[in-house]
Amino acid sequence: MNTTIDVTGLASREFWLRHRDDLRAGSVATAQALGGSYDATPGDLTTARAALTPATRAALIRVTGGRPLLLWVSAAAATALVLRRFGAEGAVTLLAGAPLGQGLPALLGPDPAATFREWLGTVRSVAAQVLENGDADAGTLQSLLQGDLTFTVDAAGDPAAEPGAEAAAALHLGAEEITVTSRLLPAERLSALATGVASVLEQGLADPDRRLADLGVLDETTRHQVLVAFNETAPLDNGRPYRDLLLAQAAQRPDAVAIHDETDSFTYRQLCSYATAVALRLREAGVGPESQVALVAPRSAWFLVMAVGVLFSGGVYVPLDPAMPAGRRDRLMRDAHVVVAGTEVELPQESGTTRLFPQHLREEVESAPGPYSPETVQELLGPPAAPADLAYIIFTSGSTGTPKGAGVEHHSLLNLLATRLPDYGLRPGVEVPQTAPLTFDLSIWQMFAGLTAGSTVCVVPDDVVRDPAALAAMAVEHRFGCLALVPTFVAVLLDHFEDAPDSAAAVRATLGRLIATGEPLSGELARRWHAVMPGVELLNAYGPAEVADDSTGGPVTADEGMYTSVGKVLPNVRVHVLDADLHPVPPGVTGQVYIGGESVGRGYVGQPALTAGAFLPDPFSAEPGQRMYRTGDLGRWRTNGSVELLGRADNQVKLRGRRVELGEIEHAVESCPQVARAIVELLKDDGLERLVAFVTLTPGSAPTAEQIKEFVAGRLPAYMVPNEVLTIGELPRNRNGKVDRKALRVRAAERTVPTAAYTAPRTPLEAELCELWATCLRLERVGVTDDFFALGGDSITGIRIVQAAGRRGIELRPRHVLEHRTVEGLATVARRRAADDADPRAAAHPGADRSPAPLTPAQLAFFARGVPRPDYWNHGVLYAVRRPVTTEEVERAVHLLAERHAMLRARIAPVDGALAQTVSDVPPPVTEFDLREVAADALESRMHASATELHAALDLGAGPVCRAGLLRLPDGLHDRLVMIVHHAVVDLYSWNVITEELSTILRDGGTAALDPVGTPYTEWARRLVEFVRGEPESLNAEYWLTRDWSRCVPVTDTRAQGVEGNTQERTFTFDKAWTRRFVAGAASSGLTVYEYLLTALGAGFKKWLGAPSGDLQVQLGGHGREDLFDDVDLSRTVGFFNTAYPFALPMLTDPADGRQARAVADLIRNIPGRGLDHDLLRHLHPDPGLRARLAALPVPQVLFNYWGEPGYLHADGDGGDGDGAGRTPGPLGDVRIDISGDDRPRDMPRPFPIEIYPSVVDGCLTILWRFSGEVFTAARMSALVESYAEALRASVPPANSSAEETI
Amino acid sequence: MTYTVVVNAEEQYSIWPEVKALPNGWRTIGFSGGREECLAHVAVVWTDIRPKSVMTAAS
Repeated sequence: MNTTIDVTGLASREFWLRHRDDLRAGSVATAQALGGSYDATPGDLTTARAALTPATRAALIRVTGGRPLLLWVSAAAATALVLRRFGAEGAVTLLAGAPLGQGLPALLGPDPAATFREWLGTVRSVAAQVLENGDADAGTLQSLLQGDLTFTVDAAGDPAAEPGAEAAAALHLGAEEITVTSRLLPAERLSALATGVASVLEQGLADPDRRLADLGVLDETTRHQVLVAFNETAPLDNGRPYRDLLLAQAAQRPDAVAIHDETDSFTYRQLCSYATAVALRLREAGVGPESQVALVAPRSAWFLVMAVGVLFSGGVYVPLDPAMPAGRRDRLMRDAHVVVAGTEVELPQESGTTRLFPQHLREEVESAPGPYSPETVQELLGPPAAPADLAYIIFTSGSTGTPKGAGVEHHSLLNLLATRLPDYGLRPGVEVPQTAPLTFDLSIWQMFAGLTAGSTVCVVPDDVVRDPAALAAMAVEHRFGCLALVPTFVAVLLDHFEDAPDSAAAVRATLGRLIATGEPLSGELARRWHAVMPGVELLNAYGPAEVADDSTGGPVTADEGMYTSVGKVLPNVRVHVLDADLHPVPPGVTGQVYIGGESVGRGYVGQPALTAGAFLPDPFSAEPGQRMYRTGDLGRWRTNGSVELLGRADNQVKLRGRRVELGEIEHAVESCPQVARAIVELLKDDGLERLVAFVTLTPGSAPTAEQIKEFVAGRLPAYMVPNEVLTIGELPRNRNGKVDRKALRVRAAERTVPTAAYTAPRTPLEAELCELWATCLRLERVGVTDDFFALGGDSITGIRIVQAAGRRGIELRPRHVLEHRTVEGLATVARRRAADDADPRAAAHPGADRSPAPLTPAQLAFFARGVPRPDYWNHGVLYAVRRPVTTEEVERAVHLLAERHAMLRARIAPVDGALAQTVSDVPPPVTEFDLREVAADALESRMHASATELHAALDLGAGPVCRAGLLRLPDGLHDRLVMIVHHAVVDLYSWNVITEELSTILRDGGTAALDPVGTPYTEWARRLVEFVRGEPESLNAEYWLTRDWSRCVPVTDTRAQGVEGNTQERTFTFDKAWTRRFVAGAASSGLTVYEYLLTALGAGFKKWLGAPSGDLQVQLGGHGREDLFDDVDLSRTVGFFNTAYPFALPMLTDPADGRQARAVADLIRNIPGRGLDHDLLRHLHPDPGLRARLAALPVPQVLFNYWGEPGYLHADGDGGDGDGAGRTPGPLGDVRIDISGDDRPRDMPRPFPIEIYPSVVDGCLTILWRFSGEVFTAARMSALVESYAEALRASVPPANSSAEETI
Repeated sequence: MTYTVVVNAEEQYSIWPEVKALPNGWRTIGFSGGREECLAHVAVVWTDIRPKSVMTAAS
């Protein structure tokens, strides 16, 4: 053997590279099991401990002999199993701490069938391999990990040590306890990890021959909490048979209305006597326990009477949709003993099935009603159904395409109905609306529960269910106590309420609660409900048809986060959240939801194999032989025992090897305020995988696909951001109102545009309707004979059209659109509201006479971010007013300033579907704050708070976009003036102008001393648009499109940028002497300070990233006041001009090397149009394809914006100093931007994980860093700040002394 | 993962991971295999999903 040290290193390198893919997949699995980094805020070091029992401690010593390596093996073996319990799929990658060698990755894949002893052996051999190959170079090792969160396990280090710079968390096995530390993970998760590892060691070492599948991770307390405490429910009276419950009501209130629809009404006496007669007729046909009776008829009051009759007979109620294709229906009726169907339904001629007709049956029983006294009914029909008899069958769609008939027994039905009475406030006198299709399990309690309580069931017709205005009117007229809707309909109902405050108020006064059910309720929708309908309780409910509809339920607050709670476990139901080995997981950890207890259905009727696969033994039930249903839903416990659902287990897809929860992406897309609902599908064609999001929008919003993608990119890792976003009017639904994913896939594959002959509108009304249709259907134009459905219309679009028409004073109903289907037809029924009852919303916009100007690229870039509160993104500057001023003086000064600078009076709002800016006549308001009595130590925070009030009160659409505050301070202190301006109308340079002019006006009382203002901002905006339209070829797109961005090294794996509130700021300030040398050094090499700063930036990042080579992708920002037109003067224009464009910055080795610096400077000087080209092309180019290509460029993770020397910051008696010789200085001075209020909301998504703003203030180079606190640890941030400072220092020849200070 | 076919006193069938302890009230019937194999076997031996007590009452 001819080995040398070098060759050994190579062998190790090869070993690691061979395992790289697995290690990377393992690190992703680890990160997922740890819980994702997205809601973690790096904060103080958190530590969780779990003590080892004396027996475990003794066993550890016995098994390992106290050898550190074997202790590490034990800790790692237990940790890997815990991560599997926490959801890691397959093997996990752990980082080895002491004694194995810092940072070496170990891949561990526990096999549930292995014994603990065997598993220890496996881990030991992995550890040996890792040790053998520990001499690989750092670069190789660094490339092995991919997850966002890493986990170090050590058995010999310092338990209190911080996780290493790269590790999200560290676990330490000590002599007496397990310690887990992290700055990123929540304390509960750390504690669950520590407890889990301690429990596994305890069980595994006590009996090493136990299989991993039998080792749990919960301690006794948590186990009791999730298995027992969360399932302890209030006692419930559920023992009385259904028939007895109804007969008792009939005896008590024979003449009260039990059921009614628009035409029919049945009292309790009628209901029970007719139901008894129906039951007798069914008995004649041979119906008894377990015989299926198929009811194939439309929803109506009479239908409900027949259904009750089926239950009275002891038979099984099987509702079927008369509109269903005949072949499918025949299959479902195969086992029916009796079929009740109207003449329109054709039945196969065969079998012993008895056919009855609803109308005949009705005539029959009305002419000969049965008795309704309990004794007589008992005499005629015998005892009521037994608890274990089948009550009903609801067919659900099967993944195989064959519908599955979920059978539910009487005891489960009775339990469900009993929970409804207190929860939904059902009692005599209350009307319960029946809205759901009968084939949807939601209909079961809607039909049957109210009748056991003496309430009145109101069958709401389909066209009312789909017409929010009509539904609201009906809710008020009939004083509905509750209303149950799927979230999609909740959303359109809210649209209506927002348009019609009177209707909302009326419903608020009568409706007790709204129940959202059937599909996930987004946190955003919940928030909207509470905002629009305060006081009306919002309930969520969850449960599949297989387990008697609902298994959990409870109130939803306005502040639920991304996932709303589906409530707590309902009485006599048991819910378990289990991992892949059927072990319970602790609160906060995601697992699959299993439902046991009273509500477990019988199974899929006639399908034993499907039943056996979905209904498993319940290992946690005290009663032997019980079953639990595997829902396929992913969920987690909250610590209060309520359940959060996170999506479907079978929605899980693998995208380029990564586990992706479509539900999670859907939630993220839905948290975009403009998105109402989102469904994400993974489409594969020609081997190409794309994530496609299908979205419906909230009314009035029109975000581009790019905006939505950018928004999502702020919340999810890059690989989970949809490749395509398709906006559709309505999500296709199956009969039960649930989203039809299959139809969506088809729609994505074949999107066609109708091409009917175009007939232009002939009347103003037609023209207006055509326009509305085009807007709502997202078409360029609509002809008066075009068919609504052919254009892609659907019922939700119809509702939106009606709502939009209402805002324009045109009265329509949703059914009109569906019935008439053309603009021509619709115009015949549309009625224009008389002028005197005009919709107040249609009032003319103020300043509408001034023609709207387009937005500039800088403004468009901001709106493209789609932040939740665009109104709140401001600049604020606080000045001392160094002479006494009256409020009137300040008002006058601010008004004069705003007169000169129209953008301080701007309004930005949609005009014809696109955002545009206009100028209002209303001057910015001035607010006075009396802080004269405030104590000295509270003064700054009160000043800041006052300014924050003003910040939060800007409004881009309605105004104002600028506010001034006059802060009256205690005697002896100068009063303060704070100016708040929305960033979309102001930039840093503008503040020089504002500061100087305001000070001068306050000094002079007028504007005579000020230079005239040049080109207005709106004019600049128009000129830019004309320029790009007129001479697009003069702009260079190729520069950006042909760049090799793939050389850019990512600074973080995650694309989560976090929110402003978690921003971590660092400021690094160089002293004056050093700054002077730095500036001189730049000048002597013929470079600008900006170029010098950037060169060093590359070097700083190179070291921090440990990157051997490559570029850093930086978003460069410039002031943007570029000299494009000869006749334009922007020197005194207040507005938002900044440019922002991506740049590939080479990461150099030596910032002091003049040649390297000049090379970088050349690259910077070659950026076309100093970046403005990019912004103009990306936002204003007439070709949407080009805009999209530019928008699709990789997004930098680092923003670099050199502020230069912001003059206004050291304003000291600024006062038009151009000609200021001999004049007294103006009164404004002592400028502060640190106590000028919170200029953006804490929950605003950050644009970049890292922002860098260098500036020179008071002669000192100051680097302001803004980091996403969610993404970087404190140590990582400090390391980067220091690394850049070091590169800057290295770029200047050393001098005698250079002291820096870090603030 | 290997499963085993199990049955309870109501003669309701199901499947259970072979490596896990058998839950209370369930017994094996001597058939183990992959998930699909076990379910196929269930389809053969379990022809009527009514619980035993319901069938007894009906007869």
